Amino acid sequence: MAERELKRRTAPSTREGDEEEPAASAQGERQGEKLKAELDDLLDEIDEVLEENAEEFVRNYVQKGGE
Amino acid sequence: MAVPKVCGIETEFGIQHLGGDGNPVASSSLLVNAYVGGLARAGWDFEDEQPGNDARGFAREGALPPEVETHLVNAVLTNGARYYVDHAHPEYSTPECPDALELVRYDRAGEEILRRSMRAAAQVLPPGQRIVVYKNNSDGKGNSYGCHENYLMDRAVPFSRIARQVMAHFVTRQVFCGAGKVGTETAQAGADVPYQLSQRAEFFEEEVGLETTLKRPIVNTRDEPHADPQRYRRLHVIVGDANLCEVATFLKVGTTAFVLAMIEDEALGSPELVPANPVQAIRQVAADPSLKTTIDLTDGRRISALGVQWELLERAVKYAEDQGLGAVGGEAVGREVLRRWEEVLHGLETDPTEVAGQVDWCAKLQLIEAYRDRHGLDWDDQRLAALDLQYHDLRPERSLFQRLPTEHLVGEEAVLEAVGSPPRGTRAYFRGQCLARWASAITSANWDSLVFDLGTDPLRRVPMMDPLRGTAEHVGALLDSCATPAQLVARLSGRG
Amino acid sequence: MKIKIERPDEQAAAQIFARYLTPDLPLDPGEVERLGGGDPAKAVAAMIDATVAEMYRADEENKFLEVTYQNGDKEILYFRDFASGAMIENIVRRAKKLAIKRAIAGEGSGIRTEDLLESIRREYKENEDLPNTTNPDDWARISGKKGERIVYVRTLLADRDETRGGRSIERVGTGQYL
Repeated sequence: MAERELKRRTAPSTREGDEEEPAASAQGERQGEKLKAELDDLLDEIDEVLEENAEEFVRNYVQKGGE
Repeated sequence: MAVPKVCGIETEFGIQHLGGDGNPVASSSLLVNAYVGGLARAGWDFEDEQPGNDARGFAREGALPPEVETHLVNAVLTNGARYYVDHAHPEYSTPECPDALELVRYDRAGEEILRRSMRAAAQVLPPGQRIVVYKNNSDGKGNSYGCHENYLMDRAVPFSRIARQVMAHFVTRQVFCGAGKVGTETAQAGADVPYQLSQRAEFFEEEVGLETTLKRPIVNTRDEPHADPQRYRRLHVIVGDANLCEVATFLKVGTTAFVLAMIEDEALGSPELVPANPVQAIRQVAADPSLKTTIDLTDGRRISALGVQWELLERAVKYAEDQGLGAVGGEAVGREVLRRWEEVLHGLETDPTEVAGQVDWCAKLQLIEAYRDRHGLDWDDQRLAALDLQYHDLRPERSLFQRLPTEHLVGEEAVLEAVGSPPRGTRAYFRGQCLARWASAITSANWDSLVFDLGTDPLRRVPMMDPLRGTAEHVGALLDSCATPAQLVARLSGRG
Repeated sequence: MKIKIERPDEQAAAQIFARYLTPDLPLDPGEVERLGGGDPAKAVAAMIDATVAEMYRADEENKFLEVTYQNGDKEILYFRDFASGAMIENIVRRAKKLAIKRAIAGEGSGIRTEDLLESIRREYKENEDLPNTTNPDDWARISGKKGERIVYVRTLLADRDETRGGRSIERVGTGQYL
């Protein structure tokens, strides 16, 4: 790996030979935006699949400790 | 040079028997049996079976009893994994994997096996009953079950040094591999914490110890190498959450492999990063999704969890430059770990929603916040606890996680392939291949041995004491050259 | 194996041993000298103490079975959890045999402490009266401490796979492959 400094507390990381396209972080951001955009649709869907009686569902979920 | 970080994950799944009698041991057995029994129906020939043997593409582990209705099934699968009932949970232990990416694939294969098990169980259950499986680590009522990682280490490294030097990572890595949890459930954690990074963090009460169910320690001292004990140690890591995000699993394992390799090579550098109060620190980090809280180090510094992770990453980058990536999954995987490690720390620092496609606690928190907004809910509304739980539901029709556009690292086809076939780069290859070819001649399979019954006395025990041998490279041609298990046994020992 | 609700504790075990391991048996002269200062009775007492201590140690080497209860709890059972008068008698009998074998081989005569220690291990490995871990019907006879039904039993005896189901097992050399 080429010597490089990790950019801390600065906006998207750059690395040598890869300066115009900080692909890694951009991809992460795109993922994040995509997620936000889809959240609304998702919430509609969730209202449909969410267990009907949340209280009972949560109350009934009891496990034995494991490991 | 550090030993290559062969790794594996054991997951205990939460289980709910809808319409059942509420005995989780029986339900877990039924679930696992339904899957393993289903393999039998897939066309294996029982005709010339000897009772006690099994020709179903799996073998029982160890010297185990014949099948009876109540017994806890314990199977070794053709992908080299172990699938069984532990305590009151179904548990899947991946086969030994050569690197973090391969382990993501086999962890996902485990989810698929549990989904198939749920379907198989539905076939044999009375109408109206259903067994449902959750990939999480707590029931929200103070009961936790584990997701343990295992890493191959050099026996020569003193355990006390491992425990001291790995602590900072174990306390802080939850910033990217915590699975997220609404609220708290133990007396030790504050009641006024609405959301935690980790499911498990609040359950840890000791720094170092042997226990896994009581007084859980951050560093577990269990010493069962399942390999040559003169050369190897298996570090048993109990401090993690079960992840659904593939990137989170990848980073959990990949970064830990780096830290352990650095410890082994005495390349962690200085100053040593040692939390002054690890137990307090791990809870404190968990309870602060703003990631601002700082923890005390023994050298007097105060530093945030992200700060610790940045320091570890810097040291890992230097380690890669100095010593290469041989011990941490090789060039491609090792580099990818470093790239994503940096990427995720940036994202977390800037805005955690940026890494909602990579990090479970961020994905879950974003979902919960959005739902809260829409419905104007308080944090103690049971619907949020329900969302949390249902995030981990493995049923495709119910899983909230599956509805989120998270990033994938392995293709669906590769996952399905991993349900039946072993990794090529560890001894799991030999185990899985032998089971696929000659299960009827294998009386027991274990992590470190197979016992063959060749029809004549004595039984033949084939030890597999080195997790790094028995790979496709080591035994592929050998296996292909053998038509029968007798030939295999003869050739293994240099006869025939 | 008879179900014994009350198994001998260490003190009771020592008393039972004393019934079978008596000073008039042929003892290794070295042991009599070393342990008893020439007094066979003292030597026997010391041998019994050592044997009982070994048998009742609850540590890694003496793990015998892991049982799983209906509710999912697990418990490790040790040699001592299966101790009985019959077993102690057998241990002494085995020790005598070992001593005789050694005498025949011309390697000294008389019972030594090591014969007793070795016999403990063999007794647990080979005793047919112990519950058959492969037979669920036998599990009920294992007196788990929790009073709950046992649904699964796993053998933990160290070095356990030299025999299985009465069949011997041979270790296969694996050369360059494994």
